[in-house]
Amino acid sequence: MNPMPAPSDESGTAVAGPPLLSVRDLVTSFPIRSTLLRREIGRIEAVAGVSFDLPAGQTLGIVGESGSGKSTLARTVVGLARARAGSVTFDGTDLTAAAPAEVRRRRRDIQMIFQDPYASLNPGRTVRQLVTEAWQIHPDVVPRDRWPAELAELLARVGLDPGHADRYPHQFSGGQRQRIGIARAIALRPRLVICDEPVSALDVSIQAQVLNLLRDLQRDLGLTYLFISHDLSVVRHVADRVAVLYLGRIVEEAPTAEIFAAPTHPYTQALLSAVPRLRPWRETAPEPIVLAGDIPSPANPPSGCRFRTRCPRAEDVCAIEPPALTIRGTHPAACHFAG
Amino acid sequence: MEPLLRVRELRVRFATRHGTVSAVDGVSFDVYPGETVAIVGESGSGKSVTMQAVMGLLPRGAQVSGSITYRGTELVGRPVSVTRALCGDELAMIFQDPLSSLNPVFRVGRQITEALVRRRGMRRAAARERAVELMTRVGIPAPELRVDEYPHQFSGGMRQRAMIAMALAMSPRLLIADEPTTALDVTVQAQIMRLLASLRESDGMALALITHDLGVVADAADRVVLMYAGRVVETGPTREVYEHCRHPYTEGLLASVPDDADVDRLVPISGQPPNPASLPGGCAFHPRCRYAIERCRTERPPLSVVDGHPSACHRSQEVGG
Repeated sequence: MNPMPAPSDESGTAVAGPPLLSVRDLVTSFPIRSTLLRREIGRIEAVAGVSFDLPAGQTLGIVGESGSGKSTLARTVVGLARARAGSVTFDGTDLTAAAPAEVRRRRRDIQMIFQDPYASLNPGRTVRQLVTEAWQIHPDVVPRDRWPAELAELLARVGLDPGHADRYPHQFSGGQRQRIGIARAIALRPRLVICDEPVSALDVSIQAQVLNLLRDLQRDLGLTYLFISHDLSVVRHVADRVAVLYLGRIVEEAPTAEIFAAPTHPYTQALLSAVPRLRPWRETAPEPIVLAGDIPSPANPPSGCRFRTRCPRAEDVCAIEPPALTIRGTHPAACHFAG
Repeated sequence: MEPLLRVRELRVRFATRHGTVSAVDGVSFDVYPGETVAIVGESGSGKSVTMQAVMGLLPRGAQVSGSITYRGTELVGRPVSVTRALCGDELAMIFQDPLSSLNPVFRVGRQITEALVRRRGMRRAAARERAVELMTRVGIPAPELRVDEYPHQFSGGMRQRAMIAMALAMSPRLLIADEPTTALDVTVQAQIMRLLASLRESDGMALALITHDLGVVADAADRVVLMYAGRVVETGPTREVYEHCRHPYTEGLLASVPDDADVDRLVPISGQPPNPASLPGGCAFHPRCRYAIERCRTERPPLSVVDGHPSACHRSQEVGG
């Protein structure tokens, strides 16, 4: 079991009771098949033993580069990918072990917002059809005679004109389409929303609108967010805590302000130093740490610490012993030399 | 000093089913030798079309007017072959998605030096050696091996390096980079931007950087040209524009970026970017502008200098700080 920090911390984020979502030692892997006979010749561990807690009403940001496994992690939590080991406990129920009927009932409380709203919305359906579909599948959420009123309220809530309910996705701009995706996600009144790069495809001015909307919804509906992004500035803005993922493993996890002010893992340090600042002349930033090379293939991860091949501080021990994610200094980091 | 590239009152129109669409409407700017100029805007702003016009890459049927001169040679209204003759020798371009610019069936090394073989008559063996040199310069590890690999064997960052190596083959004086790091991870973006900066220093190459990323601009560009709805709304030295912006759009963009940890709520620009096929009258930004007055609906503000640098706003004196 990975030692996890207590769900409350001195930074003032008041937390009561058990976490809404608790992930332990999660592994999600995909088979590598031979080209000829399609025999399984190996497995890619896209998520390779991830643990975290997410208290109700909070936002946990998951940051990582392509190949880090952040999207697979999101898809496993929401049930679109199958966990090979470990547990995903939502509100006391382990979704990897519960009976299918129970899982289906629980899944309603977990919804997802995708990066590309155009790809995730059926172009042949109107906004009305797209949103009410969920109520059709779960008929006890909104009674049918309440649909028009609920739909109008929902659209207004996400900043769309209720009079546009019978339009098709292509008649909306990118930002408006993401609002449709958000309306769909919250139609079932979920408790946990997985946001997978929700603003990455949007123009900067529209990004800010959608981020503000997500924040308002969280406040008004008491939502809990698992917020996946490669954009550290966005995560810094929305998240209470941040977990940094590298090759399927969390390398560091801390309250947002703390991780940005004092990252202890060399990967986090490099990642943060690579983010271009809006007004670099106003601050005395340390010399950026430019990492060599790219993230290695998850099919063949390095031995020991998975970051060691690009790490400026790597020593012999790093090739032998994988560092555990334990509290080093003030918060958990998976590095022999952190803290 | 004479500019390398001088663009004056450039207009690009496309005939579409919905009538004529004006994608670029009277854009002027200069790029001087050795400097980095960023052309910044959101989707539909005309930033990419402007540079495609410079490179002669516009689709057939595009109507171009105004003037684009490269070291004194007028390119508008001349056969595309005039531009083509400059490309490679003088001008080179790299794109957001290097995979679509690389031919999947040819070895990377061969593509990097294709122009040297075709246009300078370099022999294949010499070209291969030159490809290894270029790949070394752009930081591709084990270039002796990778020179014979195919594009699909390269990661995204390595493909972009290969594209840069290809662009450098003919030692251009001006490199046009269209969203060169948008598809890349932030650590790889840092590598590529550092590479471009070092090339600029060592070769004196000028860089025209097309991007939507204001952070990348702040780091890399000497001067910035902000575009909205096909027009330049503000231009000047990057730091001056960022610290003392004079156009409400610039102000809005800067406030939209979640950069300051202490900002609890972002201040976005309301509304959506306009459809180029039906632009608002007067100042195209007025429906989204919190400074808009009656005059803005009817009268298009010209680009004029207020406090140091040009901006196109009737109320620029009241904007920014």
